[in-house]
Amino acid sequence: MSSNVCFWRDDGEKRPRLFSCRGRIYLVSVEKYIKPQRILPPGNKEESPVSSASGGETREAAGAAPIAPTEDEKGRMAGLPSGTGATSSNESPTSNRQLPTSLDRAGIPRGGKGPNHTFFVSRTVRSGQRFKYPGNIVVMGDVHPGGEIVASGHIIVMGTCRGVVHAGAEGDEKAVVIAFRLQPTQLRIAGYITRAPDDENPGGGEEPEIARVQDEAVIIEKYQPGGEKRWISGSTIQEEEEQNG
Amino acid sequence: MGEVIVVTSGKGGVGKTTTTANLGTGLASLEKKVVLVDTDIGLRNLDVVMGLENRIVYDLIDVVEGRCRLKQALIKDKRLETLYLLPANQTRDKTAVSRQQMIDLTARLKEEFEFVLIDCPAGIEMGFKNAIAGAEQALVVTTPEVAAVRDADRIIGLLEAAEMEAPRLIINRLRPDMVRKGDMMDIEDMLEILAIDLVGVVPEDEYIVISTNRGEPAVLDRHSRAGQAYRNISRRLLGEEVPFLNWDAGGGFMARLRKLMGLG
Ligand SMILES: Nc1ncnc2c1ncn2[C@@H]1O[C@H](COP(=O)(O)OP(=O)(O)OP(=O)(O)O)[C@@H](O)[C@H]1O
Ligand SMILES: [Mg+2]
Repeated sequence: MSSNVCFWRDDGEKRPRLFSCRGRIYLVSVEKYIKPQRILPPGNKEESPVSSASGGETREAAGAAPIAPTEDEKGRMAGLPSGTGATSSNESPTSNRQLPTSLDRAGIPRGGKGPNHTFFVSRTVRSGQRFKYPGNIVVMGDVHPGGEIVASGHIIVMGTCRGVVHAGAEGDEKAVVIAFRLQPTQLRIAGYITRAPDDENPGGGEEPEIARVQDEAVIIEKYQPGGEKRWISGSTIQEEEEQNG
Repeated sequence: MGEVIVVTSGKGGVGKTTTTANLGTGLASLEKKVVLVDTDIGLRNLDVVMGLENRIVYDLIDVVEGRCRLKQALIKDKRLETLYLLPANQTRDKTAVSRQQMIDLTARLKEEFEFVLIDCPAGIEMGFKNAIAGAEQALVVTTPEVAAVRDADRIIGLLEAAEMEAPRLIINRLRPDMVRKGDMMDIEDMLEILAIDLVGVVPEDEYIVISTNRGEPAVLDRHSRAGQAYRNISRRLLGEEVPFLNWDAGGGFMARLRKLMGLG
């Protein structure tokens, strides 16, 4: 499979170093490395700010835990085997603090940690909206600029991804981002932060693409059906099935 | 110690963000060390106008809540060496920061920078109060419309109550042709109502729209009339005497303005 992308990585040097160049999309790293931190399910007492998080969702004092999911999402989450609190944030700060209760009301068992579980966002993620989940996230819609998706696992956008996406946010460099049209403002995988260079238009997006870390650089290439098996390892899927009995 | 200047208006959409971006860029191109602070939490724009949106990793809230160091959150401009942006957070709201946190933040920034320009959100609520908390000076932006001038008057009153240094006025989106026909308030009318010093008049200029969409402040464009106005204001902020642009508004307008400004 040929990667058709050019990537820069900062590497601590003053001038970014070109990593691989085969095509249309170019991304430049913004910052070399941010220490990945664990994303914890809400309600967990440990501190859990993810690197770039605006949430601080486990902290009452900060007064800004992410809001409860909409009715729609609650429904989605209830359908999950063990949806353990994806957090989304926007809208009013008062509703913010109600996430744990809402989840309880939705009858979702809490406490189970779900790195292999997947959260579905069945709407377009708009500017100022942010979804964070300790597992995979699938967006059935677009991610607009100013919108943000943070997952400790993979991120799949069944639409156009123009916002900020962070896969493997706890440090998993095997995490990938797949989108029908991949034109992110910023794309992060584990500790890699990339953006398009200034003089290029975002490019890409004619066909589904996959972004992943390879040889210490983020690369984006055409998504080939079936090809994901190499990147999204089969073993984790099996593990999940076993967990669910 | 740098100067902390808040750009405010009361009414929304009159050009606060445009003014902050252009004056910051203008001052930095005069080799001043400048930081722009976006306090419009939840509705940030300054990063987009500056063309720096895709560099944001940390923001103002991360700084005040201690999730990162101040230096990590400052984004260096892509054109000018001495210009930085501290972006707002987009997922939270105005209550995410307190007045005291803004006072502390601006105190730290003015140790490093010669100018700290604060882009204030519209309104007179919490966002406004936070934005002015750490500022010593204010630039009030208005457009030549009765409603905008009314709101500017309200804001000036609030700034005076907050014991800010005498606020200065920027009139934005002036259309000399309309003023000439008597369809738009002229500068003199506005100065009479607001009774504060005028620091600049920025004409309506379609290049502002183009440059905003491109993320390149108009002040860098030699051909933009608004850009010229912003270059002049930047120099006035440095204490230079710069003559006002000739709007060619006719009717001895410029002469009256000069007289008003004590320029001749
Ligand atoms: N001199 C000008 N000529 C033409 N268009 C202008 C001018 N100044 C501002 N505009 C346009 O007016 C709109 C509002 O400007 P801006 O975003 O700077 O206002 P604001 O006061 O920051 O708004 P808000 O209250 O929403 O923060 C923008 O679309 C901008 O391009
Ligand atoms: Mg604004």
